[in-house]
Amino acid sequence: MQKESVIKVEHITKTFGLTKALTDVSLEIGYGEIRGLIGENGSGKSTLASMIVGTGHPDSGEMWYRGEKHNPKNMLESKEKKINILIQENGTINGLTVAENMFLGKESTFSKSGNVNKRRLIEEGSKALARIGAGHINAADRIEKLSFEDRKLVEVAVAMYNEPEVLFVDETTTALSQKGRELIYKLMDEMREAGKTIVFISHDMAELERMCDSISVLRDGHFVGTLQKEEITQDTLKRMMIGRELTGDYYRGDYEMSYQEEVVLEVDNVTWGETVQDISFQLHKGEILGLGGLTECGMHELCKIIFGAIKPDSGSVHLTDGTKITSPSSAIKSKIAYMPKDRDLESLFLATSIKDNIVMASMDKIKKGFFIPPRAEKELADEHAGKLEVKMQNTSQYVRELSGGNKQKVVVAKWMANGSEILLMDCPTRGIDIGVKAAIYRLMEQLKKEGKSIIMVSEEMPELLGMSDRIIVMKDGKQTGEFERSEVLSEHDLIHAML
Amino acid sequence: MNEEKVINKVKESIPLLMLLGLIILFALTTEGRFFTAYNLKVLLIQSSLYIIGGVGATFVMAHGNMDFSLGGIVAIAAGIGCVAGNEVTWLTLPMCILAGIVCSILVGLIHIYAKVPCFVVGFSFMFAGKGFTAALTSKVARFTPTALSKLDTFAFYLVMSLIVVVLGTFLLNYTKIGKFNKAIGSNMNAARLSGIAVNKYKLLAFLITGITVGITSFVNLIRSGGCTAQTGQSYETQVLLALALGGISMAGGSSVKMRSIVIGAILYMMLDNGLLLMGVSANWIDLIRGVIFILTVYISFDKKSVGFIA
Repeated sequence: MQKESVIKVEHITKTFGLTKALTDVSLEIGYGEIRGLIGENGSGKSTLASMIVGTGHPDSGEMWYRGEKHNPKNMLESKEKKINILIQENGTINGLTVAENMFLGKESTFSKSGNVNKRRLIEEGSKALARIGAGHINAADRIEKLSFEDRKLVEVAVAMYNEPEVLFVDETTTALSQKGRELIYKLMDEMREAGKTIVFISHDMAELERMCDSISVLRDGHFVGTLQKEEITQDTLKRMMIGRELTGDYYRGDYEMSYQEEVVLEVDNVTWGETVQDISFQLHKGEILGLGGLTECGMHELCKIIFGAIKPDSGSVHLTDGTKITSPSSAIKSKIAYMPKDRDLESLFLATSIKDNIVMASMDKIKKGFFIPPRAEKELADEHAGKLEVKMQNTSQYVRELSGGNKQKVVVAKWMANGSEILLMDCPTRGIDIGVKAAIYRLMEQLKKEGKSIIMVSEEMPELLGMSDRIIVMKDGKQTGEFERSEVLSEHDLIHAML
Repeated sequence: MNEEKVINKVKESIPLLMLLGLIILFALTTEGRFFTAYNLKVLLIQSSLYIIGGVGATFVMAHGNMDFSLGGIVAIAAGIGCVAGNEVTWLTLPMCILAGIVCSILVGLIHIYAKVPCFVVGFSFMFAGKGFTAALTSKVARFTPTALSKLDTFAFYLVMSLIVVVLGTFLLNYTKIGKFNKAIGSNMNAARLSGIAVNKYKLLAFLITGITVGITSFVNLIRSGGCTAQTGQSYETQVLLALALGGISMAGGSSVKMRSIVIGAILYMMLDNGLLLMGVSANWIDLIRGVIFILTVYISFDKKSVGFIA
């Protein structure tokens, strides 16, 4: 009976069909520790977390929690044991208020003879939100009114309300602004002071370096090792994660702003309510134009307007030959592609095969009259899934079975398949780890070399600085800065324009 | 995941297995009365009515709507076709189809552009149809043009069904109409952002429904000999039940298959037919049908295909 470790797992194996998600993984985590968990896509970190939290069950191996055998049937059981998890994607439900979301399933503690006391629900909700420093959120509001970040903070408040002994933070911070992240870091420090344990799963190495006492590395379902704080360097971590020296650059190797003179896309005085105010710029052939700002600055909506998915109140988006972009289909006809920030909700057909996803925008290209030849579909899908090295069994597999990074590769494949020339990428590497991220950066460089043009909306400053020829910064809907690629451009310069 | 794939394959085969199971059951318990050529023909003829209209309904279901207008449109189309046919015989089929198309497109337009939920529009057509045929037949009995009665042969029903099913299957699986409607049912947002003209393709699904329902009303005229105030009644409910029995996903999407209506319609008719031949009292038949319905849908419904988060 170990008293030093709060969680201990031994020889855990988990297989999904042909995929060995975890193979003989053993590790221990102590009390009052922030343990980082890092690894490439498909390394098994989320799977391991789900085993411990109870959303899945290991095929073999044993787990202990606080010295006792641990075999949770489901998440509710582990919640009762004070193990909570924060996830990356949206976990709140539309149509309910913040308070109703927070106490979903626990209404009986707020009701007498079947009637839920709404006032008490809201009171408790407000208290829980204030406790984590999110008092700006009104517990009586409908949850749809909140931004993605505030909705995530509601989930954090719910988890902390349970007063967990062990908290899994599974890539939760990636989609949050600096403010949101700091809030979570503060909670993590507080919990550690109180002798509780955090398992911090993230791709952001700087974040892990800052917060963790130690970091465990997984690779392809195997446990590679645990580094103590003194031993942690980004290079060592990368090497352990990828298993080979990370040769070459991560972002672009050059510091020169380079693009052709020819303008391919013009945005003229586009305005949409208060979210986007009088934005104008040009996109050149072979350019990577970065678009940055705080989450709510309007850049995501601007991206949709450029694709024709949102109709602006005034102004226009057009090609240099005058063709106006007025709808997604007109955009696609003009060889424009759009990769939304929320890929599950807006890019992918989850309960559908990889093949169908990839060919969805290429029907006109491969059709013969009314007939769409299955063989042409398969060839096109196989070609592009292969080029991007999507990790899958075959293209008949359902997209929902893929990891985040591979899902994103499928999205890219879709737009490569129909020969897009202008790509609008909104947070293209959100929630994706180093290996796939690097692959996407190499792809962007390749496309740039081929004369394609990219608008990259990003909330990650290193990414903006590392990849863009020019960066346009937005704040509260307005254009507040334009920067050229150079060796001396820093995050500080950008932040200044964002705030 | 392999386990999951096997379970899914089994779930998908449930309707077919249920069908085969019942065939065996009825073969054993009705002392051969079930397996007479006559009985089987009757069974297939009755199913054909639901199969033909159901092919069209499959497209609408693919994009996630449930069309309750089917019966009402059958009524209206039958009425119009009948009246036109009694003037000029060969006009019967074209008028049936035209009426079907006009009505169904109207359903689609009201739903899409006036943003009225599809099933509400469907209900209003259901009532409209009832009223139409009641008014049409209140003073004068409406009979199918006599020249057409020679079509009332097994071959006719079989051929009509085959043509519609084959064409429908082709459209559903190998053309943009089918693929895009399934995409819309899977994820409307992603469909729109992939360049699919959502409204256009939803409307095309209603167009196909209109055509198949028009053909159904023609076949019905041949089968029943005329148009009465009862024509088309509860047709839509039975088609939807047949689709569910056939294992179709209620939310639509890429798992929608044409075989659902074929298997489901035959299964539905077989239950009535076989149970009656077994000597089961008519009162119990409804109950048994209900139980089998719930069981089949429960086992074969793919719960994971509903919603975005896997």
